[in-house]
Amino acid sequence: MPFTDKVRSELEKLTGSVDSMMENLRKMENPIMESRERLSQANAQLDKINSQTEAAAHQILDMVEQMIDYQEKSVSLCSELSEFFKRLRSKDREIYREKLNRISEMASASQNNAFLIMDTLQFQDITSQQMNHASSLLEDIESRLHNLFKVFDGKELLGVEEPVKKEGRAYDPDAGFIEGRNQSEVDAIVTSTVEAGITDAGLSDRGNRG
Amino acid sequence: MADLKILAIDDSPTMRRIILNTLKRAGYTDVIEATDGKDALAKMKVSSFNLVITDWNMPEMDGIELVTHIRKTDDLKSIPILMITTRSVQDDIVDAIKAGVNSYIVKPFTPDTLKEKINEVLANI
Repeated sequence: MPFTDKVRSELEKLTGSVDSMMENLRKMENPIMESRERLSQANAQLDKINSQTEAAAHQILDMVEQMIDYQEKSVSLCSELSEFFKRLRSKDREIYREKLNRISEMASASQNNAFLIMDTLQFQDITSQQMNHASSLLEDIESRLHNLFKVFDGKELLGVEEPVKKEGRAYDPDAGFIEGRNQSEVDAIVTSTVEAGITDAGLSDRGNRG
Repeated sequence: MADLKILAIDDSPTMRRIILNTLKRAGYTDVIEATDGKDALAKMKVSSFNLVITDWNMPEMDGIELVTHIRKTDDLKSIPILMITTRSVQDDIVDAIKAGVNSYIVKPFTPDTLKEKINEVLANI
């Protein structure tokens, strides 16, 4: 077979392969479009979870603040009553004082628990950062799928909006509630860094030497 | 303690509320909130503060950009800065100190840690 015929034959096979590949890729259009839509839905769902957990955290904080306020008032009332009991007969006075001290102790313990609930609500900021990270990854995949789809089709997608990255997502990709470094390890790093004097701002410009 | 004016910066409304409550419990009641570095600088233009407590990851202007800006601004550069963040990688902590942070707290923090760090920072002024 002459060389040109060989080339023509190979080119025909190649064209056939490309056509077949394009046909297969076109078959993938719908699954890709569906995946893109689902990614977008998953992303919206994550944002919804984020805003709902934040709203819930604030409702809990409202109640915790109210509890702390009631407990402070209870302790204060106990203190007032204690003054009043001083006027009672000594036998009764001791009985009432003991009970009053008990109430006051319980109010204080309850107040400490309320403070602990408040401290634990820091989880909301941490999970929010984790969800923002997941959303950002989904947005990235969605955008890549969109670009891939454009390549298959060779034209702008009709009726399909370009994925838009949500602005203002600020997060630490490694944020964790229990996995992080503990404070004493952080303190050791801070101390060694300050002692080594490696500051861009310079120690004299850091407000203090701590 | 009562005279100390603090600027607390965090983009999370939940965290701002927790920090404010923790500070109130520790006796610091004069606290102004800001949502990010840009908002903080706007507030620092109209009021003076004795202490800045800032997060790292925030939109518009993050904590490190804010600290760098403060340390380069004559009127602001002597303000003590405490960073409260989830970032606990060694390089991040070193970067924060290099930028001019005085003390560094990792989230989730305890009220005792916050009080301890505030006392340390203020004792060194």
